[in-house]
Amino acid sequence: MLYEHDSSGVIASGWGAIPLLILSSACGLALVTLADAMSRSGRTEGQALLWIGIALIVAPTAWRVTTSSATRGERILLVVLVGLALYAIKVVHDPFAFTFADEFVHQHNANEILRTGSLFNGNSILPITPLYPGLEALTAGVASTTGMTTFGAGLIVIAASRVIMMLAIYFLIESLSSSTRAGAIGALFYAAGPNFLFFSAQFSYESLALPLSASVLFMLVAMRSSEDARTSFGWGALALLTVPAVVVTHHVSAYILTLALVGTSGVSVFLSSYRTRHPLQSEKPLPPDAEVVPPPVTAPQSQLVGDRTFGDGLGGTDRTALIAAWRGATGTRSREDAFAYLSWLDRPTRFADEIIDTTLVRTSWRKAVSLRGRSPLPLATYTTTCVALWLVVVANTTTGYLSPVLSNAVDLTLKAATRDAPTRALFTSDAGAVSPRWERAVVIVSVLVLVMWLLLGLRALWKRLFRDAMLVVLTASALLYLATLPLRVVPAAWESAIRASSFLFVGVALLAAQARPRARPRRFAWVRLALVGFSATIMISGGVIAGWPTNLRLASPYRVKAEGTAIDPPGAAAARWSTQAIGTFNRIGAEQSDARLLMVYGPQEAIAGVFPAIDEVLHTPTIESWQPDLLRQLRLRYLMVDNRTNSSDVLAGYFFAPVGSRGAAERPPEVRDKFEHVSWADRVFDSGTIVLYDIHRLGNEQPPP
Amino acid sequence: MNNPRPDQVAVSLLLISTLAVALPNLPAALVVPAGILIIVLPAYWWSRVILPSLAGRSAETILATLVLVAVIVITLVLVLYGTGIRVTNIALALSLATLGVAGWRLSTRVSAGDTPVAGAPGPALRVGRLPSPRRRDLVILLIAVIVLGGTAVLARTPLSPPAGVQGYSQLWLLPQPAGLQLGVASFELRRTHYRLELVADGAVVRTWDDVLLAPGQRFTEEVVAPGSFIEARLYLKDNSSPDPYRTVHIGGPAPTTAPP
Repeated sequence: MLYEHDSSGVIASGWGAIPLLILSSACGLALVTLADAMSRSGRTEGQALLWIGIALIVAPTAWRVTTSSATRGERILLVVLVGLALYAIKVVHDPFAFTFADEFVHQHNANEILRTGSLFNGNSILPITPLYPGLEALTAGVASTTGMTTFGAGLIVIAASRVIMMLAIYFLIESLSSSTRAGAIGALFYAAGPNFLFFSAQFSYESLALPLSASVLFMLVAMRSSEDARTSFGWGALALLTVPAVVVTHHVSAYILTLALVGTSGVSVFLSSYRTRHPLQSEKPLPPDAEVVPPPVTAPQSQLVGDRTFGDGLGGTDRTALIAAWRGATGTRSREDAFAYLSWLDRPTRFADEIIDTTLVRTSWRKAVSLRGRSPLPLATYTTTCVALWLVVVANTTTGYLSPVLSNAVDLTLKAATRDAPTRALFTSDAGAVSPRWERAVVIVSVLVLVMWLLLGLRALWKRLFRDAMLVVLTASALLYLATLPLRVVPAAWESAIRASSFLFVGVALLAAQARPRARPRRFAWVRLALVGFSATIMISGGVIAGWPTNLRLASPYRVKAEGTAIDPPGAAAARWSTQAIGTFNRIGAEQSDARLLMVYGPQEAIAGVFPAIDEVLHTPTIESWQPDLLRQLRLRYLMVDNRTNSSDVLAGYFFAPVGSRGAAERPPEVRDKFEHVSWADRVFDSGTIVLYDIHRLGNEQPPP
Repeated sequence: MNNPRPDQVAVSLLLISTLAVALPNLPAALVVPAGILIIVLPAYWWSRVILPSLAGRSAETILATLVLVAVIVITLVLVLYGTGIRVTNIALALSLATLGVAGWRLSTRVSAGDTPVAGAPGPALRVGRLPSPRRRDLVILLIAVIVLGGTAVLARTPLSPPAGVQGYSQLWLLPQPAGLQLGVASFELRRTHYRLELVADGAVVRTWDDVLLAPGQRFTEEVVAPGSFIEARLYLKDNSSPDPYRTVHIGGPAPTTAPP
């Protein structure tokens, strides 16, 4: 659907700006890849190339989708192009293997499905994940039919998810706004979210569930606004099929989808009740002898070129159809005519708005709702039932997994508000890396720009906000996003706040896309285009800076050249060694990063983290009396000791680190060597920084005094 | 929708793809796209059955198809959970799903004739044909493909490590049913000469004086050593340090002056 008849019936010729924008995105991606390559080689000058590359991908596209000459198909293609190009930045960041913390967890689950041929296999790092096997099932399906590894299949699955996300956001905003331009700008705004570039591009269950959830929202809107019953039924059926896929893929996505649908249903009921009690002027009955004449449609031809969807680009027979529908609804008020009229009412086009706002329509909202029969309530009920069933029958440990995280976040937020708890330093990663001053400035400017667009959007949307329940819910989510920004200074809440932004940004994108800064006289229209291009670039840059630590934004050395071959870091090599030397599924206590590598490349049953307290066992300078008991209780066969301090870092612990760098810092000798002198630990493997102790004799021996 | 050609093309592609996946030893360049087609085609077909009005609306069709890919594969894997999730089962189930939808399409076409609902407004947009690209467009796209190809090569090429990154060597000593397995693997950045010692209760019982390994190579040996405390020490021959480069040991605490 690249090219359409425009309002004058002329078919656009050529491929317009698409080839140039593809080339621009390719060049942007090439610059980012070059920056990654420089970073892998130890050169630090690549940061500038990263930002130039991102600007080359985003700015020209933002400019193009804003111009009035862009067709709908062109806009759709361009937002998908931006989504995929930004995803490719993550792929070239880690082209050899998955290296994000959650990716190991899900890759292990997918490997296990392929190995065992069954679902719900164990996961020693994140036990909740096998209970939501949607992503892994899809990846295993792709891997088994294509013969690819789970890494390759996972990349394809997430790329497809990214396409789904961009299309769903575009269609959702286009449907709610009746504007292709708003749809495209909204999709670009969504890409400016702090999670979009890296977090939402990782091989993780949320990366699939969120696009499917957004699709369900669009399907609901499409179901309610389709012209004919068959199409409406089709979108409804597709939504019914998609909801279970969301439910079995990711818990939080399913809950937020449920909340959105229940919220939409509630607001819908409230709005219809309110409209019944407080009808608009257009809903008051006409005097019996009133003559109804549709107002003249006087939109200038130039406006018809830009937004060629729904009523915006209507001409000829379509305009006649609209007026005929209106005549039918206000005149005979038969059921069919009312249906035809309501299909326009659901999509308040510029023409329809004019007609609705300036004439008196006899169709009451109560009757409209009863005629429509497409309430979101059945879908909300169905989704709630699916979520409850999965929670009770399969994933009943979910509440135990999520509730401590949320209750802790709420508790510490309240304490931070009353200054009873410490706050978190902004622009500082967990590893202590501090963002440069100019990056902080970009983030602050991007937040201000976002607030400006949201206010402009709210102003533009206000008049028709309460005509659609979905608009109300998504606008509320945009405002909720602003409310979550202060939570980023609370240590226990910042991660929840950052993660919530993936969902809340759907509302942000919708609201910001409504803003239409005007430039008068028209010869200054380029100012508006420049403003959109600047805003998109600065917001995506701000999102990138806020969403990922400075030291990890560019690639770290993973696979390096060595005399005609290539070698991987010690952690990955040790995990691969374990398969051949000690077999699979041994219980091994290890650092956070090593445990993930052991799980995927072993596969081993690796235990890490603070619960149980493996971190403490590995990091104390002496062996405390309780530690052997814990190791015995956990039935550990091996302990993997890693001398690098960043092996505890789930983001940075997988790479080579140059001597003298922060990543190469070592633990004190007493911590490193404490297992050397106990009778129950055999030092069976040594690769310098990593040592593996066989502690099977611990079970037969008394703990040391 | 009355045009049967898309269905025929889809069936042909599905058959060819199934054959490509089923045949052994075909190159990945054939199997990967064939496997993807096996998964995508049923979803495409289902999208045409569920939403016949999407004909000609490419973007909406792509969205519906991709969503249905996820729905169908996830559902199949959940259904096959009891019988074992194998590539044959998945392919068979996808074929059955495809046959089912083909039958449904045939029956609905016969009964409903794929005609639009009477009285419903037509699509708001009529879709024109994709125009032929101009030569300039093709040249630009060709350059973009070349740039992307170069990008992929650059991304996947292992580079020289940054200054300060060091290689490493693995040394291991593992109990075996009869004796011990002693092994060395080199992940150094260049060929390395090693000297290896096996020590039993403090006495050197065997030495490998010059083990030369290139990066990625390994050396293993089954050994038998009497004694309760067996130790292996790896030295770099080019290094004059008397301390071993790597050590491993089995049985009892390492002899040392440090308290346990």
